[in-house]
This record gives sequence, structure tokens and C-alpha cells, in this order.
Amino acid sequence: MEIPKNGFMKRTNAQYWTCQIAGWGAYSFAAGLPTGVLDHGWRPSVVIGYILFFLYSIGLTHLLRREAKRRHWTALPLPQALARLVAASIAIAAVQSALVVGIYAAIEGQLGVWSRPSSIVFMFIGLSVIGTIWTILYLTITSQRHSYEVRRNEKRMKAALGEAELRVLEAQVNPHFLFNCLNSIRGMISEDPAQAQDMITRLANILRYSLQRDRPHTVPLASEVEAVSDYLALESIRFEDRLRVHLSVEEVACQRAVPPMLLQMLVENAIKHGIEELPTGGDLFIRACLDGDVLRVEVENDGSLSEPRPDTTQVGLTNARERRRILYGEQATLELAPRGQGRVAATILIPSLA
Amino acid sequence: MKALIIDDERMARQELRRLLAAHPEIEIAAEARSGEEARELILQLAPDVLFLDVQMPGMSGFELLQQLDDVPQVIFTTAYDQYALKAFEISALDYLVKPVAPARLEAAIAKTFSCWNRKETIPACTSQTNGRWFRAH
Repeated sequence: MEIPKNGFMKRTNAQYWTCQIAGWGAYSFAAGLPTGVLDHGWRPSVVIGYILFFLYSIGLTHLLRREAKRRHWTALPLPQALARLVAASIAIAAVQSALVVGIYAAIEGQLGVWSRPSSIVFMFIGLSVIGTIWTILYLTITSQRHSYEVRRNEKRMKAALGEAELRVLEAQVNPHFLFNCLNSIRGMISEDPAQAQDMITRLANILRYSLQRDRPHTVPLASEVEAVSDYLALESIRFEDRLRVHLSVEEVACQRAVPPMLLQMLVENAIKHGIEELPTGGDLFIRACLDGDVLRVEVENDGSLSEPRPDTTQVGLTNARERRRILYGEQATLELAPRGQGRVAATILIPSLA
Repeated sequence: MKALIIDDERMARQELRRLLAAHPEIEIAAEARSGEEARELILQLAPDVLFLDVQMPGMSGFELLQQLDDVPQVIFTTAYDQYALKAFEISALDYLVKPVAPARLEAAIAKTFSCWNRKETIPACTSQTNGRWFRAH
């Protein structure tokens, strides 16, 4: 997941520079410089030496940080990350030592105290320790920040997932259908109470089926057909003779596994984009059969394939395709094509999973 | 006041008729099952108010209004509120979601009457919209 590089990154960088300047500043000007001045007085080699030391130490460790980031050292297991960083800090200590000696010699014109190798070794060891402390601080801070980021991403991911699930639900329970249906039921209550009761039962079945939590990845085609039948019974009350359903499902096909809501979605599409658009209504054919070992499910309706209406999201069809792909790979197909005689057909082919 | 109910679903028309029975001041002049039917009936009967469904096969409620030179007061009735903004853009008098709550219907009718009464003296009240559907008096 892409993390937007906004205020958080800016804050991180500000924190890093504050630590760098405060750390190396304290070491150079609060510890190093006073000691040097006490030992040697206000000599240019001491003052300039420490100012330069402050600058190149920040520069060198910054270089280390950049390389560590580029090579993703902080993502390594701790011992490996530590080994690489400590080795790099020791290398930096060597460079620092060389620079200290070089700058002193350049300003003073002689090696002075650095002519004794032991003092150079002593300084090198001291700087290695400082470098190692820098490394440990750096690792601690980054790992804390990393775990914070991981937690934040998890939260964000969860939110995104929730939203996706909601969109799926919206696609599955078409609000237009739901409210029209409730309206019909209310009208029906006084006209035909028995049928109104039946409609409520069917609507409850559909809602239960489509709102199911922890739904299995596949259901027998028979359950899907049952849900679709309830749905069509309700739509028939709305559309009356404008909706003419022809259902033929082979007995052998009934136990085959299909993704839940797949047939439902195709039938809903056929009504929403086909039959509902036709003033005189139309025929809807639902067929399921076995073609050798392949399950063939077809939803055919009167209507035409036109440009998607601007107010539709096509989320149903996209969703159906996506789930089909996840479950069956590229072997299964979902095709929407004109059929002649002013009809459109959606065909799904699903090979046996076994 | 003469009203026309326009909805492609019989149950929906019947339900609205049942609700309107509580308002004898509204006389249901006719019902139309489609935009085309409604257009003819509006020319014939010159209703004062339309109860208009948005989504209908052939011609939507919005398309019907675009085809009328002389537009009565419009109360939209629809199952889902995604069109509310558009409805108010064209200055519908009110917008009811199905199933219609009796209290909401009553409020819509009251609004219709207040506008209807005013129009006797203030013609501007009937200017439906952006000037496109201005009622000539």
C-alpha cells in the first residue's frame, strides 16, 4: 500500500535533523571544543577543527542513513542490520579520524599530538564508540517508527476493506429494488394480506442470503437458484406481466458449486438494464446445464447491449468477474453478448473444481 | 386540485391512490403508466399537480418534463434518493421517497396548496424553474 508522503514524512525528517544537529552539536561544542580549548587554548586549529568536525560528521552519518535506506538495512533481522551499521560506523570513524588529523596538519603545518600513533588509535576507538551509539539510536527510533507505521497501515487497510465490503453489499442489495419492493408490500397489505405476508418472507430470505456474514466461497447452484426465485417472485409483483420468467435448470447441475450471488447479480442486471427499460417488458430465460464437465449458466433477456448508463457503476458485473477469476482462475469465463432477436445473454462457464 | 399519478408500477400507483384518499381536496384525474401516456393526459386534462416517478421505461420523469411546454407543479416520487438533487435543480415542488410516509405526503400537499393559492395573485410562484418551463398566464 502506497503511503502518502505528507505531513508524517515532513515530521519524520524534522525529527531526524533535530537529532543529528543536537547530537553532533553536543558532542562537538559541549564536550570536544571545551576540552580542546582547555588543553590548547583558542587556537584556530581547535575551533575550526571542531566546526568542520560537526559538519562532516553530520554529512557522513547522513550518507550512512541514505545508503542504509537504499539498501533496506533496517528491514533486515536485527543482528544483520546491526552488523552492517556498526561496520559502517567504524568506517566512518576511520574517515573522521583521517579528516581530524588532515585538517589539523593543514592548519598547523605539523602533526603535533597526532604524530603519536597511539593518540590516533585512541581517537579512532572513541569515534567508533560514538558511531555505534549513533547506530543504536538510529535503529531504535526507526524500528519504533516502523511499527507505528505498520499499525497505521493496518488500520487504513481495514478501513479500505470495510469500504470494499460495503460496496459489495450495496451492489448485492440493490436499494432501488429494496425500496420499490417495500412500497409494493405496503400497498399489498390492505389489498391481499396473505400475499403481503408471502412477500415479506421472500424479502427476508433474499436479505438473509445476501447479507450473510462469513459466507462460504461457493454454494450449490440449487441455493443460488432458490434465492433467485424469491427475488424474481418479488420482481414479478412489481412488474406484473411485464416480466416473463422461463427457468430451466438441469437436475445434475444443481449440486455444482458456484460463487454465491453470481447468478443473482446477472439476473438483477438483466432486469435493471434489459426488461425494466422496455415499456412492454420482456422475457427472461435462466438456463443451467452440464456441457461435458463444464457447468454452463445462461441468463438471456430482451433488451440491447448499449453504452453503460451514466448512473450505473457496473460494480455488479466487475464484481462477478473478479470473484469468478479468484475462484476459478482463467478457466472459467463470463461473457455478455447480443443474441439476435433483440436479446442479450450473459453466459458463465465453470469447469469442475475437482 | 386536479392531480395525475405517473408510475410504471401498478402497485405503486395504487398505493399512492390509497394514501391520497386521506386528502379529498386532491382529485386524481387519471393515472399514467409511462411518460408517453402522461404527456397525452397532461395535454387533455391540464392537471394542477403531477405525482411523478423518476425511473420509467421509455421516458424518465425528467425527460417527460423536458417535453412539456406548460409544466404543472411537480412532486417526484421515487424509490431511491439519488435523484433528489437533480429534482430540486429543476425546482420540483417536493420530492417523496417510496414507501411514502403519510406525514411527508401531507406536507407536500400543503406546500402545493400554498403555492397554488398564491399563484392566483402572484404569477411568479408558478414559474417552475430556470425559466425554461415558465407557465404563461
